[in-house]
Amino acid sequence: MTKIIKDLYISFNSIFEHYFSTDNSLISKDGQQILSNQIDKEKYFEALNKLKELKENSDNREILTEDIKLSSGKDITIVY
Amino acid sequence: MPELALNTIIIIVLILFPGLVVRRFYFSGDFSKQFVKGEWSERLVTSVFWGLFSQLISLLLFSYTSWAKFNDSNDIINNIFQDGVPNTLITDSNSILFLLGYIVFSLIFSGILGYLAHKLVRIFNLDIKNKAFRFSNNWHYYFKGEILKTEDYSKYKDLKILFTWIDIVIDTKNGNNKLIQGVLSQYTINNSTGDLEYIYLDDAKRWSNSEKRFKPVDSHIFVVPFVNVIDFNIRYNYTLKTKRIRTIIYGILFSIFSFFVFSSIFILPWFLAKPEVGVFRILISTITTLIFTTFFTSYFLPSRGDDKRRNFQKWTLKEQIIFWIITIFFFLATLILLGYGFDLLSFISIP
Repeated sequence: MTKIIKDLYISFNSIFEHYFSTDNSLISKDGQQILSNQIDKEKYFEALNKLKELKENSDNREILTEDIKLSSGKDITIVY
Repeated sequence: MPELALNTIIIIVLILFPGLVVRRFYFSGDFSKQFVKGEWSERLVTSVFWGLFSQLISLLLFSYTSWAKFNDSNDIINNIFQDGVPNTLITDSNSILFLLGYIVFSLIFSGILGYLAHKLVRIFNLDIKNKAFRFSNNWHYYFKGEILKTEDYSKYKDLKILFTWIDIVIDTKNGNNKLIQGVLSQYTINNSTGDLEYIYLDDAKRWSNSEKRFKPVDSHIFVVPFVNVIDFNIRYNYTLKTKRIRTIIYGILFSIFSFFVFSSIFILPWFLAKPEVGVFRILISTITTLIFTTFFTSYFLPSRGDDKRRNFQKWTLKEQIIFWIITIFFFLATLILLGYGFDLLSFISIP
């Protein structure tokens, strides 16, 4: 009984969050995931710095990209 | 004189207040301060306009409900429009009941109207594409990176903002300016002018002149009063936008489905209720409808966490039976409240 109420409560909450959240957070969901996890954060800024150096050391003005895998298993393409 | 006062109150309640409710729900989230911004006369006129608009649709919808037909609502409306507020209004319980039901109905409708208008403008990016729909909080478009979706920045159109990085030069009033950088997490603006008041940073770092590098500041949230800011630089950290046609179609279908479900929950009980059913029973039935609809939807959803299975896949037979007993209980309660079962809850209704 407690398990059902807990599961229903969680699903209930996610439904209301989906409909009534204002989606005005300045940090995107992926961004929050990166910033809240120390490993993901390090991985992200390491890749970003690498792209930054690459761009600074070459005359290439095109957008550079690098893929990283977050701890949740999601792939993110970093753009610089 | 008392008649004039009563007419004024009725006009305020029936026209101005629903207009304010429409505006309150339209200016929500980051744009909520626009609700109190601007000249009061302009706000009054727009509130009256939206109030009238919402009232006309409410009136049309309400006149078709079985409850309104049964309670001679059209006669009462005719009387109000032709002869002003009848003297019997505050003594006739049927008229009071009608007014109460109608006011609640129109306020719910006004709220839904404002909320849907806001969602439509935001979902379809009408405020970004067309300046006529643009909200007055310009900072939102810059800080959230939505400004990149405009024609002026079309080269960034395939990019999605992860978070916004800010470099700020702060005037310390002693000649030594400070350079701070961090992830922009929040900001506040002035109610009347819309100017920035405070900027809140996560992961703040301070430039050290001696070490010639940025040093982390020991803080959870770094608050910068904007009055001390000399200038600031916005840097977006972005990723590639994933454009999947299937996701877009799914999103549109889901929005249409949600619109019908939510409209049904709040408006349908007024049409389905049996004529003799009271206002309070209809209102309570919207709550029970909301509960059993959400329960039913939750059955097919996964609860958050590592276990990605849907609820019905992970429950045992006993748990499934308990779930269905609760859901059917709320469903039957709704039917009874709307007058379709035995009159078990008749003590709630007003005679």
